[in-house]
Amino acid sequence: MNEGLHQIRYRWTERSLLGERGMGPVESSLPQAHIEAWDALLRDHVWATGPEPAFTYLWSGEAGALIRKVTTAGGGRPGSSAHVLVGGRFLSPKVAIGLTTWTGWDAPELTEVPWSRLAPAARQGIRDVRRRSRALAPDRLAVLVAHLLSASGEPFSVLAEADPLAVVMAFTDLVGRPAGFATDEADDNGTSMPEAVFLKEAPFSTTIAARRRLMAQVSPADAELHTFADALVRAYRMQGRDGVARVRLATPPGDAAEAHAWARRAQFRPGVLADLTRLHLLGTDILRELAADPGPVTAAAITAPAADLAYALGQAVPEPLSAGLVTAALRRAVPPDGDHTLLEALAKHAPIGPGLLAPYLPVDLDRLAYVTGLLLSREDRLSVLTGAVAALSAQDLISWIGERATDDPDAAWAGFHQMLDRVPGLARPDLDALVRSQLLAVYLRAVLGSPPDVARAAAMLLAAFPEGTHDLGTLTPLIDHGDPAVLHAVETVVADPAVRDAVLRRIRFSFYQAQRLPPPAPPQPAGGDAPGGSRWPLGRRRRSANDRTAT
Amino acid sequence: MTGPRNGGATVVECPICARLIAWDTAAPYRFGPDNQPVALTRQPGESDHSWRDKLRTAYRPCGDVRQPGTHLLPYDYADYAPVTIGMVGHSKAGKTHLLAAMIGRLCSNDPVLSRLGLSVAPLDLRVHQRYMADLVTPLTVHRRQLPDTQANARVEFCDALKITNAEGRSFSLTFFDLAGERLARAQDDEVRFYALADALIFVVDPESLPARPRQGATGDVSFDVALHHLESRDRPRGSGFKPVSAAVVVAKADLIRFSDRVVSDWLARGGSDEEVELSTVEQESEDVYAYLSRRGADAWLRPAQQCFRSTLHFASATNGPAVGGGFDAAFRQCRVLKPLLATFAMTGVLPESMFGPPGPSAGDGPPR
Repeated sequence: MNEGLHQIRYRWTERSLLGERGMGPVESSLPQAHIEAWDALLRDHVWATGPEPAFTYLWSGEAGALIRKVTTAGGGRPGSSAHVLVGGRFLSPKVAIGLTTWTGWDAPELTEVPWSRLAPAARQGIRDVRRRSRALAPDRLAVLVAHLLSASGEPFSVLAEADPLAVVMAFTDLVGRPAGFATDEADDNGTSMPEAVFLKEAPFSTTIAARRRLMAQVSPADAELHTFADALVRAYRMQGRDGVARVRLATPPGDAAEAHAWARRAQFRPGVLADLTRLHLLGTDILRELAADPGPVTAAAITAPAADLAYALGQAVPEPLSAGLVTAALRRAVPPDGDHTLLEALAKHAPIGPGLLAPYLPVDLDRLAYVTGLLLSREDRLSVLTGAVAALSAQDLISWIGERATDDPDAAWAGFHQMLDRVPGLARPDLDALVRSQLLAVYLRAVLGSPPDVARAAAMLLAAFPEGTHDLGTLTPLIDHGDPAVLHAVETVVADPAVRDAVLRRIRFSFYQAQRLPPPAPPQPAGGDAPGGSRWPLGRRRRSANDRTAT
Repeated sequence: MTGPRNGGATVVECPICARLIAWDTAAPYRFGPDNQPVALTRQPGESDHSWRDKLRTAYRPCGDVRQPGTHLLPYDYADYAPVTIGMVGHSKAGKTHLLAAMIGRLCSNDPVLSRLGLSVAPLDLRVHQRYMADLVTPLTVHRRQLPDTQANARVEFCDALKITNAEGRSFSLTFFDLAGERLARAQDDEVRFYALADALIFVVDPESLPARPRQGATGDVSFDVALHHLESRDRPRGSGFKPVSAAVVVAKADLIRFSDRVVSDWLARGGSDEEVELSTVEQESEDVYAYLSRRGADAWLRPAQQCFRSTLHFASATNGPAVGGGFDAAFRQCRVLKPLLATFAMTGVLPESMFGPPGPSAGDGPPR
């Protein structure tokens, strides 16, 4: 963007820079060698029709040219004078529109102008002209846009428009055309005329026009394109370019058939742009009609940018439409590589029904735990996750519970429920693995917190153990662990005296241990040493107060 | 350029694009309100009189009306002998003012024209009215300077007249007046009237002539382009001349009237009677030729030297320069009709014998 634009001035002369008589280049910042090539492009476009400045923008294939021209009288024969900016790939149609308000027109000296000096003027000009574009009478503009769509791929002329630049800007913003324009011409004849030519009136001629003429006073024959154009214009008027950004094509339609295809693709129904971000702006009646057939909205939600769908999810729209958006968002958000923005937007609609999630299962359990945590009620999540972990082996299930016990206790609880269902049928190795695991003692405590709850849950699990397994052979690892809640559960559930005796022993052991007492030695047979006898370790007796005073 | 072909069917060349038209089968059209063609159909039960009346303002296309670039010609264009006349000269030579003045005079209904037995009427009423409103009236009535003819203007005839001579023979006259910048282009595929032109009026701008002989003046590029285009046409049998009638007109002659006595004398003889007296043309031609030679303007004499028939004239469309975009009280047209009448005589609209010695009622002889 360090390039600059060159300037050329045209007016009538006895001898131009090219040595010719007539309207020609009389001054330029360009090297002489380049003027002739530019003149071949410019010479038919430097003629003005009135004293008010008119602008013509041309594209050479490699660079642009913007011509500002006025009629001159000056006491002599009425003629034309033109000032041209040429060169620069960045001199696009839109930049050209912006530069029409440049203050450097008609400067006395022509020099190369660096783009850095022009860019601010172009940006400001674009803003100014776009403001006028959005203020154009919408019905009139819609008619013109409909005509333009009907004439897709063809050069065209526009008759009797008061603000041609504003219309060009609107066309450019809405349809992406024209690639070249002339804001005020007496005639639209000639093969070198730019794509869009504005005429104050239909030129008088005996020759059939070479181009389509668009007139706001003539109703478009194509109702479908008119309706679409109307929707485009109203969105543009309300929100500017953003209003149509979601439906605009990357390249303008090449013919009327493509224009129709675009119109169908770009509307939920005739007159309603297929733009999820504008759903909430629609009138109640239109929303009701869309709600009666939410298919198009749902279909658009599937392909729309995630940010747009997320935005739409955050707006208030009637239920059938909202459900369609949620459905589409779920489809795009639930898979492991699903969109996080959508998931967050969906969370605002939580809790959703578990049935909505069902079509997107099975899915990775970690992802499911995350997704269900955001979207489902606790009850529904418990149900979904309980079912989802059914496929895990007993040992994997125990691990899964353990991994979530601290950070996602609800998911771990679902795993526990699955384990409850499965315990009655567990094979011996799995049962052994279970009682040796930390499920009952550590994980349940992490999940449930309070010992009474842990005891109840553990009791439920123990109660479900296969018949004949409430014995020391099975339960010893649990008892040895010594967790009070687990011991409580065992004592609650198991009737086997040996087991219960082992529990009591473990309790006593724990009790003494808590007092830093060693396990009591079994009683000696009669005649043995009395406690406090010679085997008492004197050195470890606590000293009394009397002992201290004695010293 | 009309001629029978295919067992008597009339084939006409479009004066604008030279396309051949099967005239008898070309359907009639009218211009709609948006200047687009609308097919003209005869209503059931419509009387001949009504239908003929409609056809008087109808057109025939030179091709498919759905195709851009097709031209619409007056419905009766080929009923008369077509004569195409083009203006040639560089930018601001004075072509537009001269032609507007010529047509203004031709259509003025001046009684002297009836002495020639000529009656003039619009051939394309629509085009003629436009031409009168845009050019003739502003110049001759409002005395306003006409704007530049733009080089991007459509290439088509600017006026079309039906002219009938004393023998009752009618002609379709079409006039072309393009910008000098355009006429100077060596290649311009849209400018095709050279291929058909019966006469060219070469307009010499006295302000661009060399001040003295042997100044190395190269002439008017547009003259060279026109003469070059004529090379492609068949030459008259047994001659090396270019097949076109040429009227070489030193326009804006008022600007040089005080620098050359001959010019002054001819302009002084610019009355109506003299203007229609073609017997003086030969003398005037000699004087103009001599004047241009004296000025070292030999390059401007090429049309007179190379064309099959040629005349030379002094004329002024305004009798003075414009001031502030208008003309002062001295404004009048001087000798503008004569070059046109000479052109008529060279193209058969008027009898060529009119160039001969004056009859008993003729005006004065050449000024000396």
